[in-house]
Amino acid sequence: MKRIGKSMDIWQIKMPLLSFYRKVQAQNLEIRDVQFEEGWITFGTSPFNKREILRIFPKAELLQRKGIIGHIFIQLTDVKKIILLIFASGVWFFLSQCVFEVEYYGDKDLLKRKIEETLIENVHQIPFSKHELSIEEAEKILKEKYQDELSWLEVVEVGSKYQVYFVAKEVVETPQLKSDPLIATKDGMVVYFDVENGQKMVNVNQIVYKGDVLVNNILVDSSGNEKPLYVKGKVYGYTWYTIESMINESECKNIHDALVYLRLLFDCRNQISKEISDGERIESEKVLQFIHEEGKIKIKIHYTLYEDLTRP
Amino acid sequence: MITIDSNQVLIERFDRLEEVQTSKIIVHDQTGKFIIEGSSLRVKLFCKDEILILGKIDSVRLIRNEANR
Repeated sequence: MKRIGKSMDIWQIKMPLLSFYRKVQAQNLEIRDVQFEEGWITFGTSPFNKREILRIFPKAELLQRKGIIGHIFIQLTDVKKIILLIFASGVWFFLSQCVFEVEYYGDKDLLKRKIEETLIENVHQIPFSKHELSIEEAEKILKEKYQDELSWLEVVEVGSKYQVYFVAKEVVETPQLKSDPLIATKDGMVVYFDVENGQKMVNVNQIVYKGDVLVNNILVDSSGNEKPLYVKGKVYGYTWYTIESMINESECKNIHDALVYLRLLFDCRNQISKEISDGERIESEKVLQFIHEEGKIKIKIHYTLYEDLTRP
Repeated sequence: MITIDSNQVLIERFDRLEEVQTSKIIVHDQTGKFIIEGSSLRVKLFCKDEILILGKIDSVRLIRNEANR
């Protein structure tokens, strides 16, 4: 026996009970909860049987619809509601085909930016359609373009979002040991040795001059025999520079001296910064002179730098 | 075929209903007729060849057709 689910239409009709049962049986209908009161028969059927009930019992009156299916049928009887439902489904379908955000999860910011730029190049702008760039296509493009930089990449679709997960390729550089000695390329005072291999030839706080050997590649043992050594490292020390800068007085007639001073100071700092690289710094800065002379304003500053004495 | 429980009776492959009241329901099948008596009897489910009757059932009697005796 087919069982009627929880969704049910409740009907009412006035007719003799036995005739009603005969008709139901003859038409192979399934009904439930039959009640008979004062000539009125109340019964329940599946919501899908509405047309059949009306065909068999034209005088039957639908009293109530129960359950989810019944509720849906009620909603679908209104044309406006159907149109709105179709429209809403269309909007939902359209929006579900778009990507509104791309998130990037990876261990290198530089690579993250590159990946982001590449994706935007391919879609022109965000949001974009999933047909314009599917996750498979995105993965293929990124893997091909960054095959030398990527160890692993995956693009995942989460709702209206793409998430790009990647791991950058790690390049391990094997240091090549050299046997050249570390020689001072400028005058200065030794402050710190950052040396892994080699024989130190000078001490901290010692004044050294350009051309002095700071770390040697030869070790003399107790027997006086020379043994070659690899040399690797840096020797940091203080070096001294005097930087000058000047400007014509005519160029700064209406400018206060303090501003001219600042301008020349920054010019000197700009010059000295060209002497500095990673791990190095200006240790001290002393203004030696700031004068008006022969129609010019001059500044002279003495700098003490902390730098690698062996850097060319 | 008839299945009887404390407060319900299921009759399968029945032919027709002869009488339906809250105190008495008569159902015909090939064997004969079933007379279900009780109180507050009502038809819970009804389709082409099955009928489920609910209520306080006092007795179910079978009266065989002449041919089946």
